[in-house]
Amino acid sequence: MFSLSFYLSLNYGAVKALAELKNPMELYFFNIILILYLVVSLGYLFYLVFENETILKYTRHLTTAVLVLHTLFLGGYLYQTQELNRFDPSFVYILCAWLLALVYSIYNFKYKLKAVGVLVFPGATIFFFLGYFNLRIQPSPSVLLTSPWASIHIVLSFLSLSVFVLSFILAILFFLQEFQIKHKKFLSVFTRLPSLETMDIIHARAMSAGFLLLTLAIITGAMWAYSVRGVIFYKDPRQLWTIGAWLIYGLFLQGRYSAKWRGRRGMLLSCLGFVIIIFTFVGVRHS
Amino acid sequence: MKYFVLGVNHHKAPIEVRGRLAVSKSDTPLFLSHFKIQSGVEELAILSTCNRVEVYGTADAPVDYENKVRLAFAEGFGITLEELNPYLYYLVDSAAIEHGFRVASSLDSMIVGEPQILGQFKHAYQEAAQCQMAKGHLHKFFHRSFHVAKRVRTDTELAKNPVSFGFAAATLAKQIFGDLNAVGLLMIGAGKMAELMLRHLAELGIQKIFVTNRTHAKAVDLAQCFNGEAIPYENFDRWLPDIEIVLTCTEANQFLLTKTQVGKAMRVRAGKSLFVVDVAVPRNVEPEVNELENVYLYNIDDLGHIIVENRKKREQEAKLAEEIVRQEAFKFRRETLQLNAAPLLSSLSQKMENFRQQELSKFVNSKSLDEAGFREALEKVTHGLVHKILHDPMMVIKEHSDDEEVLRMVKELFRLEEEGSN
Repeated sequence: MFSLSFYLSLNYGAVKALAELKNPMELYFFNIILILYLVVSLGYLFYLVFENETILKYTRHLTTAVLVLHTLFLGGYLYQTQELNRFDPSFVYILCAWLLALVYSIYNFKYKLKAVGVLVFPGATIFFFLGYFNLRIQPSPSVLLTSPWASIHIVLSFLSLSVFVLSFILAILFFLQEFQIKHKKFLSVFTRLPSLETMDIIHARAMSAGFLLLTLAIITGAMWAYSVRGVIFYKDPRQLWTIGAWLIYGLFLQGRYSAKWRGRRGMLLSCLGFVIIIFTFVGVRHS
Repeated sequence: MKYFVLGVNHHKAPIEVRGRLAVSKSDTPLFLSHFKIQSGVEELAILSTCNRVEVYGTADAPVDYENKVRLAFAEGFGITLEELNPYLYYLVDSAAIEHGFRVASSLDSMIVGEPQILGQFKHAYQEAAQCQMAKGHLHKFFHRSFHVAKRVRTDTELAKNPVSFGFAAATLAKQIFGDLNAVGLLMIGAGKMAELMLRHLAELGIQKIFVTNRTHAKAVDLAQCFNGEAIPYENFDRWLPDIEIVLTCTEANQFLLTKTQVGKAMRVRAGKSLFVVDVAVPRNVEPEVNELENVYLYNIDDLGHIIVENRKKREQEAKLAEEIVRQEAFKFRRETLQLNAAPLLSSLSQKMENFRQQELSKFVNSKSLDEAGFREALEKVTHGLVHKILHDPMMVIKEHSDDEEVLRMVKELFRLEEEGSN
């Protein structure tokens, strides 16, 4: 979040100056994808406000188009760099944006998520935007990042973050929808959101995937710490907070699949876990 | 060719009259052929629903056919015209087009925005087409009506908000469970209201239906109608863990479902959502049931509030829909008139072309090609062309020089007033 506010505070002149450094073809391709992401975000917003099925239909077509272009962009980027054995922030951000768009599209195909895209696609747009800025940032010369575990750990951490972003969005929309049904106070968005059951199922699946990715991120993080410092655990505040979030997510999954917690209770735990994860990413530094 | 519509509907005719006018699917071909013979109208279609019976047709001058069409309609149902006339309406041309579009768009329905009418309208067209009675003009009219109805549905929220108890409950169930195919439903009660509510929800695809009632035989009858299962009234709460929706509609004076009972079931249900709809008066379900986690209770007042709010929304949307219908009717009528004028425009163009060809051949045959000769030939050609074009109109004007209408038409046709004023 710190990096987001930092980047968004850059003025247009700086953006232009940086853009001039890039390969014009890549920049052209990037601009198209970025504009498409913005148009898709607006499309879902207009659908939410006006409930026009034609807007939704064309927005879905555009979603497919942007996903295809993004996949090609990602493929081209990997082909150009041909080096994954180093920390590359731009790749991580672009991958997170792609993952959000892909997961949304898969679930949308099966469950018709309707207006959920109104929160997912601005998220994907921001990730993609950040990825492009980071293209100009040279990989850090820090010795800490020379370990092969570093890039794997960071990629896994960001992937888990993007999945948790999706589950958090679903939790927020679930609360909104549940409040309307429980208290019989209906907003105009009522029929434009998926059913409670659909959101509950997708949320639980996203949480399972996020938990798996976070677990792998913690393991690879420990390996990284071992390769650099010679110890797995060194009482780093970020390690402690991450384990705290991991425990909460674990508690959610245990409750969801063993005690069959559904609905609000599970969503609350999910939101708590997400707050800790965001705090860990943004507010806590390695010691 | 102009359109007409003759019929009765719920606005004017009481149910006793409408009941005598229904035409079943099997009787439609016979009715249409009888109507065609009696009235002499070639293109015909009949729309028969609970709330209206209407005949749509086309004729060059529908006003001339009015008496024949009215008589054919009355005879078709074996009722005297005197008896039927107070309830009948006969609309022609733009009024008929607009009426047809309003009916197809569900703006003229008893419950504005109800979706069934479009299906019935399509059915009327199919029947007429099968009887070879929906040809060019009527075919165009019906297809345009379907388009208008679709536009109204897409561009307005006329049909989005439920205005009946069953529809409101069904919408809520969809927003809680999504796909209702795997959902189980328990109906407590077996009266008329129960049947209506059940019908709405069953239409959404609910397969697993249980019915219970104090009189078990009634529960068995109702369950059979929906391929459901009748269960004993004494211990119906045993089924609560296995179902997702409970509908109650009995005349019992005490609560049939309490917070304790539902809470106990929820523990076994492992937190799965439960939607309880209580449309009974007095209430059958303890209101505190709604306090339980993942339980959503709606009683008849709650559904009533939703319906009242939605009716207000529909009234607002109906204004937008009426405007769409007016625009589309105006557009369609203009297109129809243009289509009617097409043969006239074609023969006029042909006649002018013949004049041009005649004068052109004279010009080509003229030998003098020097500048003075060319100018003379051109003078002759253009003079001859103007003479030929104006000859017939001038003859008509002279013949009808005392007819103000003809003179006005000529002025309008050649825009003489505008040029004079300029």
